[in-house]
Amino acid sequence: MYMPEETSPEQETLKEIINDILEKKEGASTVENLSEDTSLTADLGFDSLDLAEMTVQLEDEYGVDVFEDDIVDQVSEVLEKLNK
Amino acid sequence: MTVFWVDELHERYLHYDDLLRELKDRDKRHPVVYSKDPSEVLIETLLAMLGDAELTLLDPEFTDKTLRSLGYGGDDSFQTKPAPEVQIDDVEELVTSLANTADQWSMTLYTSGTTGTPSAVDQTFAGLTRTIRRGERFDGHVWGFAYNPTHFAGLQVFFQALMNRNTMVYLFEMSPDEIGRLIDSYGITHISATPTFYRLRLQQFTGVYETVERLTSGGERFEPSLRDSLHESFPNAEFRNVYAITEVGSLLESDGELFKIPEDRTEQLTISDDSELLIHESLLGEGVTDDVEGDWFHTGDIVEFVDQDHFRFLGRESDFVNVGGYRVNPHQVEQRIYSVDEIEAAVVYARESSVTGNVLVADILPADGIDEETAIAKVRETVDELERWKRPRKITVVKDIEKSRSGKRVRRDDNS
Repeated sequence: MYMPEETSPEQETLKEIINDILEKKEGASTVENLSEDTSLTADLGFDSLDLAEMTVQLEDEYGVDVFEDDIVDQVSEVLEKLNK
Repeated sequence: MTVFWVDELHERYLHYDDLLRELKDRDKRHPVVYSKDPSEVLIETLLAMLGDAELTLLDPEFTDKTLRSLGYGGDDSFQTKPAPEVQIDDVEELVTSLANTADQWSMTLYTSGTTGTPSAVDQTFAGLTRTIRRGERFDGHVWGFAYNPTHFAGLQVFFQALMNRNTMVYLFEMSPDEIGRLIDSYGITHISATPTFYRLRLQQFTGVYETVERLTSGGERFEPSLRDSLHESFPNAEFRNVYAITEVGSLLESDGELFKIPEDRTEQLTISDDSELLIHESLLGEGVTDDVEGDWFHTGDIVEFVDQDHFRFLGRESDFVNVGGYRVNPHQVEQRIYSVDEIEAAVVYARESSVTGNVLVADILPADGIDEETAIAKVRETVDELERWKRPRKITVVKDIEKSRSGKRVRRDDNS
């Protein structure tokens, strides 16, 4: 039986935000699954404006600026910031 | 034979011999250049220079709407003309002939201007190459090309490299991993880029890149912590911060975030009582009339003195915000949203962003009978016509726009 990998609510929200950005991005397509080792820049093609948008959305949702102290790039790093 | 240009993204790999052949073999050139391939922009620039012909470079990021507003909408804007006959056999001859013939030659670039609408500025070759240094000690430099080639800083890197027959490796649109690999493969020695580029790309490096001898930055505030983190990846690199504007070019240099007006420039640069950096009109390129008051050009850049001589840049004047190095007027974007029929009112403002300095967001009040989803979709449709950095990255529906407005910014007429 196929058991989908369990995802946290944060991961679900992050996926929604990322897909919202990808939907508007020229030449990009949305993702069905967001694995923890996905790189925002290398795998999803996010540029600085996309990262800024993601940060604003996450800040409103969780009150955390994920880029405040240093640069994060992997999904796992973003989730770690949100769960701190 | 030395490599001239490496660009994996656009699949261009040219030796200097190939460049000479390109210049020789082309029978057409474009007086107006709008190309996503940087090597095309640069080769067309050289053709225009060698033919002493007119040239306008358009930022490949300009939208169709911006192009139309500048008068470049139709196909007839991008006509071709016969290319000059180029009889140059080696690179030394090319460099000499560029240096000799092109002194009075000028090209048209676009600057974002204080209204956020691009405005044309003529740049002479002399002005573009004012800070370029040549000589044996520049032999063998390998440049990481990390700018948009239609911007002043990109052209400066281009001419600095070309006039010293250096190799250029295009890094601008590459991911951190690719950049790291390119630095290693080509032994890049020099990188010049905006602080945003350093923040997002080079700061992510985990490796150590010992070939890099110099990192140059400019255009935005550069925090000391960024410099520290770059030092870990580039232990042998000297750091240089340059303040430059499209209307003039490089004006000030420093090895950190603090600047000082050099003694031989005190007649040409000054700080106003409002802490704004002013530039004497004698330094300006032709065609600059906006923002000149009396003899002084207002840069819109606000500084803060830390002692009698040294200052740091704080940012742009109040109405403008810097979004990833681009100057944006939120009010202009707001006006655009007001043109949407489904919207009764809107306020656009900047939110601080650790990534791009600022990012625009919008609060909107839908017109009577319009649901939230439709209102957001209509606004999005409209702002999508703007350059990416001007688009509000979050659109929120609010019930009371005046409350939203007064919370976001102080209106000048609030006290009247």
